[in-house]
Amino acid sequence: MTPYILRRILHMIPTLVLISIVSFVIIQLPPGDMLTSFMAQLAGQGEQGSESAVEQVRALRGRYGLDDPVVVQYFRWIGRIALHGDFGESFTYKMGVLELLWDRLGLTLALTLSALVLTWVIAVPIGVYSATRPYSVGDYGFTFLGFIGLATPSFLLALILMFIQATTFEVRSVGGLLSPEYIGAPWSIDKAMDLLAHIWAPVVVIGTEGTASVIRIMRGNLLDVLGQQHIVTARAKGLKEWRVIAKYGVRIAINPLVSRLGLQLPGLISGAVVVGIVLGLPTAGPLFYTALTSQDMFLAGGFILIAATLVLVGNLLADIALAWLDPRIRYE
Amino acid sequence: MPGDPDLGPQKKTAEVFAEVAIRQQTKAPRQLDPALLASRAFKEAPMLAERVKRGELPPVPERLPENPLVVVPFEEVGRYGGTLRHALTGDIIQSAGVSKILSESLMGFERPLPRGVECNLAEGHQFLDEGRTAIFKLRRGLRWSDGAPFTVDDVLFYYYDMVFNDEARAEDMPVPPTIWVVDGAPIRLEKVDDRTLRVSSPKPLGRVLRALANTDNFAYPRHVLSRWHPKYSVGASYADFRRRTTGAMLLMTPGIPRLSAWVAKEWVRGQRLVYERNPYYWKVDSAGNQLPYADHLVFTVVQDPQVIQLKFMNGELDLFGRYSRIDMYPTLKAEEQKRRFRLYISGPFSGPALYLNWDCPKPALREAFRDRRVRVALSHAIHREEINQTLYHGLLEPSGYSFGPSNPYFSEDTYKRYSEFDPERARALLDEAGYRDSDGDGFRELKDGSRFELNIDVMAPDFGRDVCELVAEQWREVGVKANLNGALRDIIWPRRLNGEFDIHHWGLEGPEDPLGRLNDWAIASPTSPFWHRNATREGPEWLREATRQIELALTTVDTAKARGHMVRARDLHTDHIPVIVVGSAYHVWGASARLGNVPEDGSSADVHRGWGRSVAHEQVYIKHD
Repeated sequence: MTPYILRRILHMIPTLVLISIVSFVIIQLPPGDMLTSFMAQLAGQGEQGSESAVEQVRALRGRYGLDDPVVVQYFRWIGRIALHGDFGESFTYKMGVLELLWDRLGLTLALTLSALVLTWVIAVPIGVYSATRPYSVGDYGFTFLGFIGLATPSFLLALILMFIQATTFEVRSVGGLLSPEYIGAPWSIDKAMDLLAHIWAPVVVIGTEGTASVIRIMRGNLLDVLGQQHIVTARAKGLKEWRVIAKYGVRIAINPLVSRLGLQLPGLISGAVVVGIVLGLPTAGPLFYTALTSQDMFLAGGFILIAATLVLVGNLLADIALAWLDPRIRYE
Repeated sequence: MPGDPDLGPQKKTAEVFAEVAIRQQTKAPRQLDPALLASRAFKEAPMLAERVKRGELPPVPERLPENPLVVVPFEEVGRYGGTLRHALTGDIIQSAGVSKILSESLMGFERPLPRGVECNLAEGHQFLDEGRTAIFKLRRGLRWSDGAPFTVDDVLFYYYDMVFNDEARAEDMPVPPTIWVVDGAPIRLEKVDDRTLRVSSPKPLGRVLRALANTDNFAYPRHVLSRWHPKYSVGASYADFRRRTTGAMLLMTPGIPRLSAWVAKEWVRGQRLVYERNPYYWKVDSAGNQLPYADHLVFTVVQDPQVIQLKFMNGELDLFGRYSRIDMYPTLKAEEQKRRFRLYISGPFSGPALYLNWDCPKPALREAFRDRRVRVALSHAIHREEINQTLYHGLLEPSGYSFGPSNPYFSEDTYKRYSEFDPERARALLDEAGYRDSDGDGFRELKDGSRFELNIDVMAPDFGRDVCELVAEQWREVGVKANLNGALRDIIWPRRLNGEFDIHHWGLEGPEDPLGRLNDWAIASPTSPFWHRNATREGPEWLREATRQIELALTTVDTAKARGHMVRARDLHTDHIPVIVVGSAYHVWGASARLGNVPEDGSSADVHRGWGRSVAHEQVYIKHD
């Protein structure tokens, strides 16, 4: 298996180079650049003053080397990353890109992992139930619920949840992951409790978003598997029904979900952008969104690059996990 | 009172702003008892008294200047303590939301309504040499929040070592402010002594008071910042200095001394800003209590304005105004009945405007836009009352292109001109100008035979799209086909900067004070105004004349003459209607019921430092929790 993993890692290198080029081009695509966007922001705040925005942008462009050809800019950027691990500084936040991401990573992971667990804990049993009792009232009921979950935009669910919190329950602090007084405070039992009191809402919102598709995949796969001969054989040997389903059915039907897990790795970092903004979460998603809309080159570029790398790593991990789980996979 | 007799404390400049009745009556003393001032028996917040007891601070009489600025509270003398809670949609990128609240310049606009310019850090000023020189006297004994004396050197450091030093100028100020430049050279600032500043220029300084009031900070602590300035310290670099001294960094980094009521204490990047009272703040209320009343001022970062609204309704925020929008009004009004907060309506201020591109890349359209009859017709074709009722809940005042009601040179007649809905007149004018529907498709034809069709650039989704939709519909009624080009600000804005639009929708720039927005009302640079980038070469005579008048107004200290020039400029603009205005919008904002001394009225105009300044936070207090 080791040569298989090594080969896969080697394949990742040209892909990464390609990704870095694409991510740089993507952030250059929209008209204007971070400076015009910066001037627009100032104007939006009424801070443009009486200066001509055109002249201000011209003065800034020289300072930031934005007049250089794109190729030169690209090599300057990727050179710093490859040689010094320096992703540059965010124009809007005035902080190192890695430092910014790192700050938000902890809470982001806590949130997305709990949401992922919630999704699986809800969806897999329902999927199994539906597959074992196909076309029953329960199956239709869960399918219906699942589709409603899928069809409800998660930001809307978030807003409604917050509105109910604010008007009906009159909670102390709506949205966010922490009450204001704990932001920036050292970790303590109280702060952890406060986090728990807040985190359930985004976890529910993000978690329910994914359940419907996981239910459908689980149900479909398991239904296929249950019709196969080895299941018949297992039943014929007189195994208990739950063992048949758990060991011979679910064990196989869950494989596609494992490979899906790999694809979710970048989502753990950058996912839930809209919900993050609506709920005011200090996670990485909203950061990425601001970086894109304000054309914050280094932050957006760094973000895309890191997320893309995570897709590759996630795929690799998923493949390794699958190869280990599923003896039918060959290493060639 | 200390201070030269000829400069004695002046309350206001002679300039009289439009009279607006103040509804609020204060129960606080109208002035500080002279005996109290003489005995210097000032009172201070408990949290500072404790620090004095511990020997960490000198007693309050030593911390205040000889003649502190006396603030008469809007309602009553408040009590100390508590936290004022605000929200911002970002920290660095929204720094204006903080700086307008904390700004302290030599002069400042009167509050809550900016009817005049008042003394602030300066206790008086005087014009000499027919206005070519102005002398400003600082209050004696002013101190930075770290206790260091504040002197004219700090002003000169800001002006010459930060603003007019091309290498040191911070990233957020790419070019020096034009208001401080006369005939290509900066206005001269000199030190007479530690507290006397001489300002001089070859032309009279008609602009100087307004320019000072409009600048959030006109001094920075030299004793701290010079450490990073290459001119003062070996080994310092300009790149580092530029990074450290953007408005946001100076405002938000704890440890930078300030002159404002609160100073930065804690900054969790992208999440929260905590400000704590400045022990050396130089204002007292009219009962002799050192201000501010509130111990802390906190800003929480919440990206979504709707969530900010929700948090305000839930009682998590004390003041809501920077992000309030008219479309939030119905929800807020319904929630107001629970009496946790009160809504205020002030205005009207700048409202939606359609900027026609006088240098539109399409020649036939450009020709049409430059025809006054077409512009008058487009204005008459808009049914402003319908837009008001449909989208603004009655909070849009139909008006045309002129100076706003809070401007000293406002006139009702020019304000309303060409704003009545008169589609017949619009059709007649367009016919007369030769734009007829010759092929019978329901739309008029341009001079080159193509359809009279134009695109309106509008920021989608939050700002103005709905207004533009109605305008487009109404224009179609008179045979002009209008399409919407709705996109993110970051797509629309470069088009505006590069002059690549037909019509650009945005709030009318600075109708409250065109002198604070020269670039939109005059040919102030080779690429302005943005709606007529080629004005230096192709600009119409009236715009050149208006520019001349505005320049004359800026270079006279004779208020009667300045008025004459500004009235001329106003009439020229209104007569030629280069921009189509839909109306002036009221500003809806709210304050928690637990606050006292919230002003009943205020100005939300950016040129007057906006809503944040009107509220005068230092005298707002918390009645109960």
